[in-house]
Amino acid sequence: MTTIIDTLRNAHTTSSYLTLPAESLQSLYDTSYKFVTSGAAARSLHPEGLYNVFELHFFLSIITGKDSEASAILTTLTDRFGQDSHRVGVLRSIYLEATDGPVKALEFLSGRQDTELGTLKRKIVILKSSNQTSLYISELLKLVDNYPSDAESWAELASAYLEAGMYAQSIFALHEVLLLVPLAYNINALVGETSLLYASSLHAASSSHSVATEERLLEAVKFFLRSVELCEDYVRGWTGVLVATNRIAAIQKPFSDTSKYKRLYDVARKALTKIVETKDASESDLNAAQLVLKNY
Amino acid sequence: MSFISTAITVFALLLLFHAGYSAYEFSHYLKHLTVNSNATLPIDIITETIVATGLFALGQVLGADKLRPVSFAKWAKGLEREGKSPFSFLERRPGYMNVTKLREEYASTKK
Amino acid sequence: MVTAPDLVIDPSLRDWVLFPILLVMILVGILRHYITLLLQSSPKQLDLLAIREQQSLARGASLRSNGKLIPPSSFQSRKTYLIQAFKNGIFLKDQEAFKNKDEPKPPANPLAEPGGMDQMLNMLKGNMVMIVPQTLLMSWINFFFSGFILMKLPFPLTVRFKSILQSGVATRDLDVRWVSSMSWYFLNLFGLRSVYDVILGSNNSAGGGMDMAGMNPGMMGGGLQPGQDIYKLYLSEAENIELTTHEYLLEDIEDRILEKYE
Repeated sequence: MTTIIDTLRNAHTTSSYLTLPAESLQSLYDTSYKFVTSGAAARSLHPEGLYNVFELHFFLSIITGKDSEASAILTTLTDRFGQDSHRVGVLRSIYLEATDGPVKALEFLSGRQDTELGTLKRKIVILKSSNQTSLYISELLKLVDNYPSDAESWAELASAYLEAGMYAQSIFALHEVLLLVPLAYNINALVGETSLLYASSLHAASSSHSVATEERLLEAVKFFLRSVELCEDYVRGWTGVLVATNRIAAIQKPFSDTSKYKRLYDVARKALTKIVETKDASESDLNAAQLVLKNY
Repeated sequence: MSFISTAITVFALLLLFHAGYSAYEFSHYLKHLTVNSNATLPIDIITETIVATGLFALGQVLGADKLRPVSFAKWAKGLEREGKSPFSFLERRPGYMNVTKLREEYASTKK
Repeated sequence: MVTAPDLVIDPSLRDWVLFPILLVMILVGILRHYITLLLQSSPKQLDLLAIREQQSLARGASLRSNGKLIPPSSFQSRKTYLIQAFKNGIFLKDQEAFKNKDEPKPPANPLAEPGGMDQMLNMLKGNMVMIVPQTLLMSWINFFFSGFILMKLPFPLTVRFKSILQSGVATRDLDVRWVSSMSWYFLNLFGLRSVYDVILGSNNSAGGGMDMAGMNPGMMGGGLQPGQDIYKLYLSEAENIELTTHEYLLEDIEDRILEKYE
């Protein structure tokens, strides 16, 4: 019983339903369906945990296309918290977006308070999915100007810039996330990855090696190392170190002393080899590590 | 808590209780003794108390939860392994979930 | 050596005074809890500009504490931007007032701002809910049971407790262990907190004003106090940022990692 609760609670807090493959989604839905409908949920959870599980079940139903189930759980939540609740409003807009299309959802959202963070985010998502990129970015900028302490929005802004190929801006937004969530090792690794991409684009533009390219590569190494420092044996960080130092080693005439980076390359290779040998990581991480070890 | 640690703890508590009761009985017995002796507690009661305390501590230690890492890096590694990273929301961004796309993806893989 | 007890208490005093007072007080506490819940107005929704005004201040604080995590150039540009922005007041919700800030203005009145008014009203409500039933209860006890001795404590006490335990009974020589009705009321008033915690769960408002004094500073600390000049806060934040030096934590991270893993 406790393991089921743990699984569901964990799925809710990490929002794993956004990235899971279809089969796992299906089985997670089955678990939550059984749990919610059997009445075990109400008996074994405190109100807050209970409604989190309900919310999770709503997301799972809507993603797996069980619209009537989603509607039922939405009604339950609306009965409990009323139409005015922020979170219920967000859920309703998601439901409308999925079933009646973005126009209806937008109509619903414009009827709500325009200061609710969740409502503003949903409006921006609709802009994004209707491919209005410039409007999407400018609305995001407006949002982070009003809510500068919302790390999620800064991260979204970073990914928006990344998709638009504006690497410097993307890194700026990621730095802002780091100021708000200083221990986020995954964001450190993401800064490293973005810096790598930035270096490639600079390299492609100038066709010859430049100071700027090299600086980006060195900075990428720094951030990858930081992510490894914050999270031991972090495969994403180590592979990043390996790739970045490999590219530094390939520079013909470096502007700065790069002897240190050869040693770092060896360290990263050793760490990754050890992780692969001891199978000390998740399945997908192991595959990624093997791939990188082979190619760099 | 495992069965062994529970058993040891219960046994130790019984022992401790018995030692305490013996000490009480002993003091009671001294009161009724006519000769005014300033006898100390017999050595077996003292031993019993010490052994019981030691056993109790042992039982508690055996039954303790698994120790968790103190350093942040080690703790983060464990969470990362189990897919419970507390920072994953920054890259998944539930507030910005694209429900249409997720539904389409799911529907296409199901076919 | 057995002495006769100096006073004998009629058991119906226990059944009809001691227990009823206890019961009534518990019920009144529960009633007060629910009345407070009903009277609570939901926190007022701030408009976007007000949210921006408050959150921007936190941006300076996070730059100061976590600025060491980002590269020097990135830190410097943020530093200059924030100092400028704070000094020019571009985060202020009321730009008109900021432009006319050199003109003398009347001292800020906490009642003038809608938020301040709300807070005052809430405190007033809380106090009313506390005072009214307390007054009623006390006059009830005073009217019907004044001067009653209700029980005897099972342990001896020093004379100093006399004023606490025997208020409303004017006998000098009575043993301190006897408790009067008025004192029983006060004991309940101060001592029922944990009983309410058991019945209503730990965040209840049945204790009424008891925790008011402790709660208020916390309430104020979170948000901004009404009537406070936020521009002054901005200026001091700008000064703080200006004083912050940047020590890049990732400066020698290569060496740190090499040392750890080689």
